[in-house]
Amino acid sequence: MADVSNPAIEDAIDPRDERENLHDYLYALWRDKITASAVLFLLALLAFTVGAEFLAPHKPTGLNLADRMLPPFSTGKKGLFYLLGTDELGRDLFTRLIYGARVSVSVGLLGATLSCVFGVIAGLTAGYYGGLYEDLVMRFVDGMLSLPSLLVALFVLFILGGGFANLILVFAVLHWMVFARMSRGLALAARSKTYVVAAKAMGASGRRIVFRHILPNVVAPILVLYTLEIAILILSEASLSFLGFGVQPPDPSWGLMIADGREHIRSAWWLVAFPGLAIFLTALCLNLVASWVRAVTDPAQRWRWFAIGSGGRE
Amino acid sequence: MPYLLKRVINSVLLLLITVSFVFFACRMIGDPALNMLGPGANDIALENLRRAAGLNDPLWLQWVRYMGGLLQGDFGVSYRFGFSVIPEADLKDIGVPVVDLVAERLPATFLLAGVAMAIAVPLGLGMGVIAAAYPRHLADRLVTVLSLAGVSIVQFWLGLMLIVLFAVQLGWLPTGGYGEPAHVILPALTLAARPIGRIAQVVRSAMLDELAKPYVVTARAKGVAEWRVILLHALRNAAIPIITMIGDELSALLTGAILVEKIFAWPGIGLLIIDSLSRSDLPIIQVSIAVVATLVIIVNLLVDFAYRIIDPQIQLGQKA
Repeated sequence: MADVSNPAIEDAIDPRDERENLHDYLYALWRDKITASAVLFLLALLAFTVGAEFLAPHKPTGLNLADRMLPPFSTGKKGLFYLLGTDELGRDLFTRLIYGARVSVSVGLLGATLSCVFGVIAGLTAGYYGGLYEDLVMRFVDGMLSLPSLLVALFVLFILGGGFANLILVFAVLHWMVFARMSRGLALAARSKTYVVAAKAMGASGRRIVFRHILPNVVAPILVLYTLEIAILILSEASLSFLGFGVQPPDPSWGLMIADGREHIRSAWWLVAFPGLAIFLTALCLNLVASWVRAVTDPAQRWRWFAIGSGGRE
Repeated sequence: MPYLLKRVINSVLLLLITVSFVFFACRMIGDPALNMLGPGANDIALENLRRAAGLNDPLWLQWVRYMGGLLQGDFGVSYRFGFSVIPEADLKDIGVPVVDLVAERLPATFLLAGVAMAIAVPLGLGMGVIAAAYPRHLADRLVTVLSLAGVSIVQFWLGLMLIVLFAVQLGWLPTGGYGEPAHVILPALTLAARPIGRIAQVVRSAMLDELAKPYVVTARAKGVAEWRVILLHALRNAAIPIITMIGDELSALLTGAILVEKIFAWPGIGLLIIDSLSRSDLPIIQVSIAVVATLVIIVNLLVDFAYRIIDPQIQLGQKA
């Protein structure tokens, strides 16, 4: 456990020098090769998502019936190279994966961001103000949380119809409660801390205390949950799209690609394998980053990460 | 009011709200008579059905009637479900009581969930305990990697990959179906992957917390065997987060079964939900969603009750 006399702790939690702090985090990341690779993967994914037009080797709708169903690492009739093979219409699978990432990643990011913003506002205010307002919010949160979210999402999308916007809306409505429950707990714990009492004594308004004082102090656990939630939403998007209730064709998404490839699973395994692998790697990297952030921002654990020369994560 | 009673009443209220929400939402998407008879139905047949089923009455009256029917065990009739596992239930013109269609699917889902949990709980527990007993050793790292992989994998994709490997390439197991013991292996393994990972993670961290506590030091100082310290002292005290997680995973499993049943053509309630959604068979949708929601709510309740049995010190109903 935390060794209070360890000088690394005092360095690490010294809030006075922000730049030094950032440097410490980057250094800790550099020394943890697994998490560093996860961060690199996610950055590359983001780059591909933003710059799909420039980075994709082929056109996403480039039909080429002469080069249908080619396995990975094959060269087509006109000498075109297909890294991950082609589908039943001769479209390059790698290119389709890149464009699919754009949909899957943005559903995950937007859904998680919306539910985070909404949930954190509801949870922090509920925890800080308390009373009837807190009771109402938390009762609603508890009720929603005890419903099976995938099933509710499926049903609501059945009623509203699928598609990109509806999917994000449904995710935001069904996932903000996790953030609300967590941030309420954080606000409850912060309410009696000296800095909140001090702010109150100086006459700060409730809104100012919640968003200027409490929020910056509880960013770390929320960030961890946010990262995990992106992974969960990317997995849910894949499930719902696979069932035909999520993203609708011709928008490519990883879940849809698996659904399309399923018909050819006996002859062309790569059509199913690679989109699933893409989802798996993305979720895995998000999970790794989340557990790293949790460890580095946990005062009881962080000295391991910042202690230079002691072996870091043993 | 006793806490448990309050919890039960809350759950019943939640269920009523859910069922009503599903009822009204299903009414929003169009004429239920047209939905039952199909787009080719003529006006006279539609009007007859509307009169017979009371569809011309105000919506609130229909809701009262529907809820009353549910309470008396009348779950409605499906006119569209062309096939059924029960051969004699294949009565297209008369309609099939929804309660039969749902009831005949439940055993398959219970079997699948049961086998998946029977795989996941011992494996997850074992992996978590080993990882906590040997922190930062190879075993711990392996468990960490495996449990992260189990949590990050797309369930239905894992199912498809298992089909490719064990059914298509190796030919050891059937690609799907129901009836023989071999049929349950692949879907149960698919469903078990995530709970194994989640349970192992929670067991590991709860055990690490417990093993650092003074009573463990005392037990060790008294010369208690290490396996006794781990299994009888620490694991017992780590039980609460573990039970919560197992309960959570069981309810996640009931909904995760929707996809896995679809992939393996496993005739459970999940497959029924997907089939009825794609046929817009509203009576079945309403009931099957209510049934799964009920199951999940019951599991959540049982987990809450389990707290009290494991740890009488917990003051249920108090805010943490």
